[in-house]
Amino acid sequence: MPVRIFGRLWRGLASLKLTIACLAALMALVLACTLTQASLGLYEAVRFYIRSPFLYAYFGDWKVPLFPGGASVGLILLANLAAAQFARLELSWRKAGLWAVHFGLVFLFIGEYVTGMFQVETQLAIEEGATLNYSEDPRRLELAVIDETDPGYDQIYSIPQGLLRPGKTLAPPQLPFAVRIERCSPPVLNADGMVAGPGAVEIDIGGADPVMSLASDAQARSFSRGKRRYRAALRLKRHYLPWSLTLKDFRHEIYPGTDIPSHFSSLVTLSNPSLGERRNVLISMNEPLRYGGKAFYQSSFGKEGTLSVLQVVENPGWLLPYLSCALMGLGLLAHFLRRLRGSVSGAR
Amino acid sequence: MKKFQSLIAFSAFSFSACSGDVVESYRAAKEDSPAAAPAAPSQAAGPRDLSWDAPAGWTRLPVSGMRVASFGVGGRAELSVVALPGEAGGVLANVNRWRGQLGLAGVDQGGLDAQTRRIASGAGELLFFDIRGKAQADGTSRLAVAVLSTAEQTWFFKLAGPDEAVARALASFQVFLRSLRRAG
Repeated sequence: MPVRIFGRLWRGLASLKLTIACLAALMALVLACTLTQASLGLYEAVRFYIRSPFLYAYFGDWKVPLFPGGASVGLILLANLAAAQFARLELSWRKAGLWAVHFGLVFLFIGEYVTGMFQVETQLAIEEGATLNYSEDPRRLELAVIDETDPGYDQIYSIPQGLLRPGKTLAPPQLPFAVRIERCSPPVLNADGMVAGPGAVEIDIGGADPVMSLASDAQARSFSRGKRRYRAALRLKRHYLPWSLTLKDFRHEIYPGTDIPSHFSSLVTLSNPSLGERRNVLISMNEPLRYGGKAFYQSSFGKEGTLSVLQVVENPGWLLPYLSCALMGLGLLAHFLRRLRGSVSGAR
Repeated sequence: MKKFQSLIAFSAFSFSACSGDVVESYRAAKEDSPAAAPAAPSQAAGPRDLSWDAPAGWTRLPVSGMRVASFGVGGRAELSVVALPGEAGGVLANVNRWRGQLGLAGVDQGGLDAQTRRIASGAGELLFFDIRGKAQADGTSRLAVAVLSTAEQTWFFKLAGPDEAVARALASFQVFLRSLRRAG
């Protein structure tokens, strides 16, 4: 009996009807995402329709899933593809091309999952002549408690925005003292989910120090605890790099007679003391800098052309789409050549 | 059954790698520290390759990034000293960039030659440019820039500020430029 049920499940998982149903669901999700992009913004629309497991509706305090999201549909489609491949495709050299095509498609799905789960996008806004060794997440704040006692380095304790809730006391072992969140107001976000207005937090670190008010658009506050000196700041979450970039020159050109930018580029000096590396790199709109597992794209600029904003993307699965396309291309070519050889042999 | 077992073996990877909110602790270089600034390679000429005499009344200001030195001059004008490797983009490109900052159109090589003055110093000949344009948000409307090219570097001495402040500081700026000499 269990074998019979299992057999039915297996046939259902490998069925063409399931493939068509998933493709139809994906088409509906892509259409909805496209139409709502104008009101939600690109980031929020993709997060809501494509990267989430379900689309929810709220009835009072009840959160009810109404429709599978792109993550669920993609997972079912991936299982369907793999099941169909194993159920119907002969395991032989004659079908090697088709196996390669199917594996390529599987890698495409996996690549999208890896991107959705692990990709980190930050920004590096740097002025001409300045040097930075960190990028910032434009969508999240952090409460940073910085121990600046040691003259050689800063010891940073980063409390993410998600943990800042009124009445909550944070006392993880990494922190030298407990931090109680008295009040907290999240930052205002724009349509793309980026911080557009300041956030604020009031913290109580106990002892003789009074409650501190911090805002993301204000200076850090200094205080002491025994012989140690600290600063506390509410700021965009930083991702520090083991190397630095110095902006030597930023250039932007506009189309003649218009205010439309035609070309951006940043000439930077990359310095990695641990490798003794120091070189100039030109980052332009279609030529990112790829270094240390990250890609730096020229994104925008400010301050009348003296501030360059680089988009920093870290995606461990960035090679998967290329691998996928290569596999599918080679698989189709191999299958085509085999069929062609068969046809030519048959004609003779 | 065998095919299904192969499928299970093939698809055995986890989706459970979600990053939750956790407190992080790490070390970072101090801001504006040498560890955060680029390390000068041993074979290139370093900033101490030049020395100068700052006129009386100039105020030494903190430096950051690529600035070698920075002075407050007469209250509203500021002099920055920057040394960049190689030709640093060339004189024409840099002059046009400064002109662009003041809302002026760019010039060609002929136009550049027409506005170039030369100042002799102990470190070599400097090319001098006096650029006046539209006032910027910070009040800067005039740039007096001297460029010194050496074998490995290009030095930029840029006096910036409102028109009248730069005009008052020009004489002492030229005294400063003539005092330039190779260090050591």
